[in-house]
Amino acid sequence: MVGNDDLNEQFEKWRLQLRKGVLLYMVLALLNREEMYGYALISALSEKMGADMAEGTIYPLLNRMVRSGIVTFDWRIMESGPARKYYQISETGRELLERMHDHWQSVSTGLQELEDG
Amino acid sequence: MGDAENTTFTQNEAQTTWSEYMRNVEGLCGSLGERQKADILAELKAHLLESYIQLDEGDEASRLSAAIAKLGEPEDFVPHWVEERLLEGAQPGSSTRNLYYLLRSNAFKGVQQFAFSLIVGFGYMMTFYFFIMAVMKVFFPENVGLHLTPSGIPFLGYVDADEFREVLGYWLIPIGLATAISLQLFLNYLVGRWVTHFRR
Repeated sequence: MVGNDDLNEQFEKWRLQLRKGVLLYMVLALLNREEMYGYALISALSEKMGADMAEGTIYPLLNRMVRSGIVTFDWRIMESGPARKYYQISETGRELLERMHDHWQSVSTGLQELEDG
Repeated sequence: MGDAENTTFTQNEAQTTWSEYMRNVEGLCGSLGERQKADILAELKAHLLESYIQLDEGDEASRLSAAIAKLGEPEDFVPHWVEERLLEGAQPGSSTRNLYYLLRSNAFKGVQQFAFSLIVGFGYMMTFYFFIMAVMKVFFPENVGLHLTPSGIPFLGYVDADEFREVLGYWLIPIGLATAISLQLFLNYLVGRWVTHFRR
């Protein structure tokens, strides 16, 4: 028989995997709404995905997204405070987001059909 | 004062925490060039300050510690970030130094990675060798080339002996350059794919 602790552990594992899997999708979706700098993006992500995310882990992902051309950036001097690095979704990023969205919809529909029997 | 110590807090404890954190980040960025290092430091600095400002309860030191706790310890994310920046070294036209550090850091991650770094490192040396041979052919047309030894073994390089027979002539220049470029592009592609695969 599976104990409560095992169940919690399995759920937690699944939740983390799911979060890792949808992180890219969520970052693209947020940047599709508006350009954002690191802190604002991470705050928005934490709000949507739960507060237990180590904020620093998003920066390597953002760098990878820049490197693969789905996101661009520019540094802006602010009137007060330090300069901010603003990230924008690129055309390739939009295309990827569209495909992700379509796939997500089909998975979601399939899941709904399964649950409805 | 370096970048790590540029921000002023009125409390010594907060100033020390800030300086230590940034020094730690700088240390982990050691394999990057100055511009890339400054880029990471500037982004982290902006993040921490913004987070610090948003946390309006407590004294400077406790607010800064809370902001750092939310961001995470540098060891937990900066090495991945640095690796991402180093991967830019695998793009055509970018720094050879980055590529060297990328292969070096990859080599210490396991037997397979070590073998990969060794093979790819050798591949890059071959790329350089083909390029140099193509260039040297212009200056030493009689001595540089693809030669056959008396026993028929091919040898690419500089020779000063009559018993070797040169087979490519001036064709070595376009063939050498094309081989160097193709090999370079292939290795860049391989490095990008392989390191990304092992980072997951």
